[in-house]
Amino acid sequence: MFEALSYPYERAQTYTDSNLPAVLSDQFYNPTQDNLALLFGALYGQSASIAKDEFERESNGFVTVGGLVGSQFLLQSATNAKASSASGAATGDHGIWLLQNDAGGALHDIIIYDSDNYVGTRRFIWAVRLQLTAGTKAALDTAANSGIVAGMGTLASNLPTFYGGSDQANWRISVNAATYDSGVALSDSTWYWLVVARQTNNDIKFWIKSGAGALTLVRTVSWGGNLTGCKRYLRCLGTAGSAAGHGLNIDMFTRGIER
Amino acid sequence: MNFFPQSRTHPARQPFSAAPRYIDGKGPSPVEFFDATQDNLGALYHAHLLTDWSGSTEDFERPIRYPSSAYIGDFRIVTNTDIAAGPGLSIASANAQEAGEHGVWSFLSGTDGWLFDMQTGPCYVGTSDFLVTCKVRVVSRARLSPVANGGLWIGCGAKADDYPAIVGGSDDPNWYLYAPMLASPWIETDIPFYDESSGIGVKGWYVLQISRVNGALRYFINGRLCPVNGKEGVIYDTDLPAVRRYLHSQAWNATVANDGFYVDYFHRLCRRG
Repeated sequence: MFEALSYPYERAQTYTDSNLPAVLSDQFYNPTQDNLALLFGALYGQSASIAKDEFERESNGFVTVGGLVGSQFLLQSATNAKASSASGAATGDHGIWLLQNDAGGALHDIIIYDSDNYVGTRRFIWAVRLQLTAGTKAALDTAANSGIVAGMGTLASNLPTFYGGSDQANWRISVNAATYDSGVALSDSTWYWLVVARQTNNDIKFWIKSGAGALTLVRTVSWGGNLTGCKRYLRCLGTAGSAAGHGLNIDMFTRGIER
Repeated sequence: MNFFPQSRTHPARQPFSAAPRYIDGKGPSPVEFFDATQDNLGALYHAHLLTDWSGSTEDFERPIRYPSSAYIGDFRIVTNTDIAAGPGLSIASANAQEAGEHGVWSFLSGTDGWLFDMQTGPCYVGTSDFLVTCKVRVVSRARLSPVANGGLWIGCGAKADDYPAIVGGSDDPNWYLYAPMLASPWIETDIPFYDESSGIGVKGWYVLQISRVNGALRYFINGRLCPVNGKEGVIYDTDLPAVRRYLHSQAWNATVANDGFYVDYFHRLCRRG
């Protein structure tokens, strides 16, 4: 569940009828049982929990501060923020909400989040698919001021997050009071999958999928810290130069946590 | 050789059914079992936590309409009027009355007919695979509008968007398939559309499914494949920008109180790429 580029997300082995490789216990039989058990445990048992929002609920107009975004997120913003469901523009856009500057001509501060999770020292995975609308990046506040933040909490929380701003070319990573350049460009109108997960050995791995590219590991940080106050958290903070329509589209925001 | 092409959106194949069955001493075909098991598990994981699939379920367990009276779970009530432009169907969480009813909502009328639509948001699936599954029953088929008017219409997209659907109505005792890719889009099935007044079964629940696998669209009623003009399915590799869970119902004549329909669950699974 917590390793995005391994089984069960990717095949451990491809088995062919005519030239069958050995079906190994540590490659197929045991991981299959373990992964199935973890998924059943997360959905209907006790071993983990999963919460996901596909943003498939239609808004029928605009949601304002204090309203429900998607099915699970509170729109908790201070300034010039509104949200609404939107149509997908391309294959793979499955239930979209647009979070945007409301009035324009002044800064916007769009924040959505769900309930708290006490992750502790357990393994976890957080994943979000989002896209800045046209013209948004240049009007974001700086990265250090939380121009765009997506992950497990605020930038100040030191929880694992992706972040960026108008002063940075790339997505950046914040974790345990340290920051890193992901090496992946942050651009308007590009869909990004941002994924972070903690492994058994306490490695916290960060992956990014940019547009049609592959999901790619961009940073590994070892941290077995006790994580509290973890949310699915997203913030988009504009400057005085931001305009109506600036903001972002969101497609999915999910997380799984070992209990 | 694999006689069972894999797809996570074919409701009569793995992983929805265990076929074929295996016996000790005769191992499975590797492609058929080992690869398929990895892929099925992977799709489920992706649908919940990662990139390649998406899925949504609605078991109608919420006891109230939330976040407002315009919603039932993730479904938005688009239209709900009666023939006198009144408030339409009365919608409420209903008591389960038989085994297998796990969270049910009722959509019941006054003495006027109704026009009703509810839907979730659109999924741009392109030419990818998808599966939509709905369990529904009606109080009286005979008082619904005719098939062509969509007495009860369960679709993988909105009626106005001309997406495939499974439809029943007052003018024919059988279920119909709506196949918009065909010159003659209405296909009568040989599956009767009973209602709770018929005395057939207990309450006349139907599970209606629309599936696309590698460009082939198939319809299923209560797990049974419904042929399209004598064939198993129909080629429908059209780019689809707005697959959604969609229910329409219409009874455009005066009726009796507490006419209408019930819904138990409504799910969808779509491949992203």
